[in-house]
Amino acid sequence: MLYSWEHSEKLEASSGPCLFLPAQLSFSVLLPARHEEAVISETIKRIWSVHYPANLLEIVVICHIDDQGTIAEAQQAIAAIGSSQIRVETFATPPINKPHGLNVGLTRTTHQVVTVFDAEDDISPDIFNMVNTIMLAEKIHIVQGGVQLMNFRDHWFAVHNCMEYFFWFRSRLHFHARAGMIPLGGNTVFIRRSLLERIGGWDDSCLTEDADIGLRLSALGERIRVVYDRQHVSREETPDNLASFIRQRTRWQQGFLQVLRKGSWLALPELSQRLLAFYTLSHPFVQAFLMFLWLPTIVTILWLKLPLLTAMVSFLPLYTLLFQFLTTFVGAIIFTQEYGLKFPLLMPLSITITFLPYQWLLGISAIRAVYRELRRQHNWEKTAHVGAHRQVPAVTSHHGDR
Amino acid sequence: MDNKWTMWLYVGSDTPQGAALLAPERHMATKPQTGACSRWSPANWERLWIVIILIIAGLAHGINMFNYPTYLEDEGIYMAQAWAMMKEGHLDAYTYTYGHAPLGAMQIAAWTTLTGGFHTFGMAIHSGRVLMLLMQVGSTCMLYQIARRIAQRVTVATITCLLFALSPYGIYLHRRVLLDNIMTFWMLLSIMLLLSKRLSLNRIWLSATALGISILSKEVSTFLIPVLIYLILLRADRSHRWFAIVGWTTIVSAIVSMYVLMAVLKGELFPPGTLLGGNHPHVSLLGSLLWQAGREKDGGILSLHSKFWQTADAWAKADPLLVAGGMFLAIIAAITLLTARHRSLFGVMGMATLALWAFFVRGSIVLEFYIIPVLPLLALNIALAFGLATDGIKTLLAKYRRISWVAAGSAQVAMASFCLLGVIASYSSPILGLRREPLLLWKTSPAVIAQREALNWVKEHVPPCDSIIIDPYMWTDLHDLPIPYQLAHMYWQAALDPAIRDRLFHNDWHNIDYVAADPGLVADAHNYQLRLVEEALAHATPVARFDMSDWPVEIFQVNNGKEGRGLSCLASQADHDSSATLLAISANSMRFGRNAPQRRYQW
Repeated sequence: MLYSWEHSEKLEASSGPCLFLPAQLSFSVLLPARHEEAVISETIKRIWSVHYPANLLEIVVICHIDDQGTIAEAQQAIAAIGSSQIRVETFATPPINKPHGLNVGLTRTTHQVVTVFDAEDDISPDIFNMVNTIMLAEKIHIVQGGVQLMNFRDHWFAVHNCMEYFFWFRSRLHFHARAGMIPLGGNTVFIRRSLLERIGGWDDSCLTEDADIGLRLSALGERIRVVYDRQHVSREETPDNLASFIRQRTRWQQGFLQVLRKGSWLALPELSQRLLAFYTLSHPFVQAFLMFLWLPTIVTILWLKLPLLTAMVSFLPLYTLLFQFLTTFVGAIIFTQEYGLKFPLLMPLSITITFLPYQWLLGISAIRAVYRELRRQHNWEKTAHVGAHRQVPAVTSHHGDR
Repeated sequence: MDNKWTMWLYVGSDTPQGAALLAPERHMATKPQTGACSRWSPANWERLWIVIILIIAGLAHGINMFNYPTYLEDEGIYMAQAWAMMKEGHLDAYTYTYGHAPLGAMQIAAWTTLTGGFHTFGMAIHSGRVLMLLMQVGSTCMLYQIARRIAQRVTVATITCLLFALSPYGIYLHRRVLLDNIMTFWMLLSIMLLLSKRLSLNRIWLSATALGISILSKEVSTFLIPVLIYLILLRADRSHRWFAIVGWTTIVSAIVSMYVLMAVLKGELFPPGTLLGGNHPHVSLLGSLLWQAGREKDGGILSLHSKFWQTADAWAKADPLLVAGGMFLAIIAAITLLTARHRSLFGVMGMATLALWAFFVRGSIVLEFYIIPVLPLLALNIALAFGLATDGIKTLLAKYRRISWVAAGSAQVAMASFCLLGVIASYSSPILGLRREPLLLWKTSPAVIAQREALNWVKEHVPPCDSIIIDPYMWTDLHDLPIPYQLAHMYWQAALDPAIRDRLFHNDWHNIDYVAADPGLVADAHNYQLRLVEEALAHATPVARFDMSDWPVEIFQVNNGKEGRGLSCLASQADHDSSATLLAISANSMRFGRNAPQRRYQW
C-alpha cells in the first residue's frame, strides 16, 4: 500500500518526466463506449485538445451498432471538430462488451501505439508527450498512466473508493511493475501495436480484460512502466450509486477469479511472480471469506473462551484493520493536498464512520463475484457515467480547426 | 559556513541544504578505489576501528562480570520469571502482578533457550549477565553509529563510545541482569534507525518496532515518544512525513497495546472494587500503575530532600563527568533547540536526555539503576558538544588556514584529554568504593563469593523437601534442579503473597524450616514489617555464616518446636504420599493467589 512512499527517490521515480522529447510516436486512441451519451462528446473534445501533433493521432469511438444514442452524440462532436482523424467504428456481433470493442478498434486502426481511454475520462493534455518521451527514452513498450477518481465528496463511499485508486495507481501498481507481474488498468494504458498483435489482442470473454492482458504481457517479460503524477492522471468519477458500485466491483472481482481460473498467470517465468499473481487474483475469495467471518467473530468475542495466547493472536486482524484505516485517513489528507482540494472539516469523522461499511461493501461484492463465478454468469454489468468529476464544462481545442 | 558545521545544524533532507549535504557522503561512497588500497578503504579502516572499540567495551564489561557486582535480588527475579516462562509457560514464578511488562524477561528466556539452559555459564544469573554483555556491546555499536551519523566524525563517535563503555558506574550497572539494560539496547536501536542516512518508511517501521519492544521491556522509554516523533518530523521527507509520523506512532501504540490487551483478556485491567474491576480480589494493570505512581511520594525535583536529589547526588559523585557534565550539556542542547534558528540533532539528543529525566523528577522512588538508559545519551551529549566546539574553533579561525588547523587539532587533543581525565577521575569515586580500590570492577567481590557459598551450602545441607525463605538471587538455582527445592520461596512472596503466605505456610512460621538471610532480607523484613519472615527469624538459630565483606549471608534454621521439621520433610518421613501432595500444592499455589502484593523492587 505504501510502496511508493518508501523514500522520496522512489516517489520521484514513479512520476513522469518534466521535459518532453519531440513528438515521434503515433497513437491510436480507442474509446469503447456504450450508452455514454452524457459524456462522450466532451471526452472526444478533450482528447482532441491534447498538446500533440494531430497527424500522429487517430481517435476511434467504438460502439455496438444498436447504441444509436452514443453514436449520434459522437458523430455530432466529430462533425463539430471536423477532422478525418476522428471517427466512429461500430460492430454488430456479440459479445457486447469492452474487450470486443477494443479488438474491433485494434483491427481498424494503424498507428504505432494503441491506447485505451474510457468514455468518461478527463485526460492530461500532455499525456501523449509524456508517453512518447518515456517510450523513447526508456525503451519501454507498455506504459500504464495513472487513473484517479476525483469526486471524493459525492457519496459516503466515494472517499474510500478514491483512496483505493490513489493507493493502487500511486503505489501498488509500481510494486507490481517492479515484480514484473502487473494487472493493467482498464484505461490510460499505452501498448505498442506489435505487442498487441503478437498476443492476439484482448480476451473478449473476460470481465477484466485489462488485468488479463497485463498478465499476458508480463509473461512475455515485457517491462511495464507505471506513471503517476498529478498533472498526467486521467480523472474519473466514482459510480453514481451504491448498486452501481457493487455491480462494478462484482465485475472486477469476478474478472480476477476468471483470470485466475484461466491460468494465463501460470506462464509467468518466476515463482515469485506466480505467487504474487495468485495472491492478487485470489483476493476476492479471501475477501468473501472474511465477510463470512464477521458474524462468527462477533459471536466468539462474546461467548468463546480461548487460551490467552490464542486470544491475543486472534486480535491481530483487528490491528491490521486499524493500520488500514489510518493509512486511508492519511492517504486522504495527502490526496487532497496533492490535488489542491479542500479537506473538509468533518471528513475525519465520515471516514471513521464509513470505513467498516465500505469494507462490507467490498465483502458483499466479493461474495457476489464468487457466487456468479461459480454459476458461470459472465454477463457484463456496466457502470453508468454522468460526468460528476468534471468541474470545467468546456474545453478549447489546441488543434484549432484541423 | 564550514561543511561539517552545516551538517550539524541542518537535518531535514527535504530542504535544499539537506539535499546538498547528503551529496558529499554519496560522493565518498561512490569514489572509485584503485590498486592495493581498495581493500582498505577508509570505510574498512573505520570498521576495524569500531571492532577495536567494541572489543575494549566488551573486555571492560566482560572481564570479571560474574564476580562483581553482587547478585541483586532484581536479577534473581527476572531470571525466575524467565525460568517460569520456559519451564512452566507462565509469566512469573508467582502471581504475575504487572510490575513490569513481560517482554524483557521473555528475551532472557529466549536467550537461555538459545544457549542451552540456565546453567550454561554456571549460576542462572550468569546466563543473564552474558546476555547483558552482548547487549552492552550491541548498545556501544549502535551508539557509535548514532554519534557518527549526527557528528559525521569518527573522533566524536569514539569519545562517545569510550565514555559510555568505560564509565565505572556504567560497567557496575550494565553487568547486572536488569530490564533497564535490555530497554536501552532497543531504545538505541530505535534512535539509530531514525538517523539512517536515507530514512525510508521501512526504517521507520523498524524503529517503531524497536521502541515498542523497548517499552515492553521496561516502560520508561515511553517518555521518549514525543522526542522521537519530533525527530521523525525533522528527518522524514516531506512526501512521506504524514505516513511516517502516523505509522510510527501507530506501530509503537499497537505493540504497547498488546500489554493492555493481555490484561483485558485476563480480566485484570481494572483494580478490584471499581466499576469495571468487579469485587473479587485480583491483581490489575491499572492498580499496579497507580500503586507505582503513588509509591513513596515526595517532592521530586522541588524538594531538596527528595529521593530524586539523593540519588542524583549519588550519580553525580559516582561519575561526575558523565552525569553532571552530560546533564549540563543536555540542558544547553535543549535550549539551543528552542532558540536556535536551525534545527539541530544535538538539541534533539539533549531533549531525549531530559525526557528520560522527566521520569526521575516526578516525585517518587528513584533507584540507582534508573540512570541506565540515560548514560549513553549523556556520553553522546558530551562528545557532540566537544565536536561542535572543535568545529566552532575551526570556523572562527577559517581565515587563517594554518592556525585554524592547529587550533582545531589542539582543541581536539585538549578535549579528548579532558574526557580521558574525567573517566580516570571517576575511577576514584567514593560511591562504589573505588577510592580504596580503583580496579574494584575487575576483582572478585568477597560478597559475591559469600552469596555463591551460601547457595552451595543450601544445596549441600538443606534437604530439597524442606521449606526455605530465600533472597531471589538463589531462586532459579534452587528450582532448576533435577530434584528442585519446591518449597524455596522469595521472602516477599512468603510474607505478602496470599498464595504462599496463607495457602502454603498457613501464615505460621512453624511451617518454615530455613531462612537464608542477607542484609537486604533482614532490612526489608524489618522496614516493611514482613511478619512471617520476622517471626521465623526470631525463632531461628544460625547454622552457617558466609561473612567475607559488608554483605554477609547467613543461613538460619527455624526452631519450629515440637514438630521438629517444617512443612514437608516432616510429612515425608512419615508418609511419602502426603509429601508429594504438599509439593504439588506448593507448585500450584504459587499461581493461585489473586491478591498478590506489589513488590518493593518494581520500578
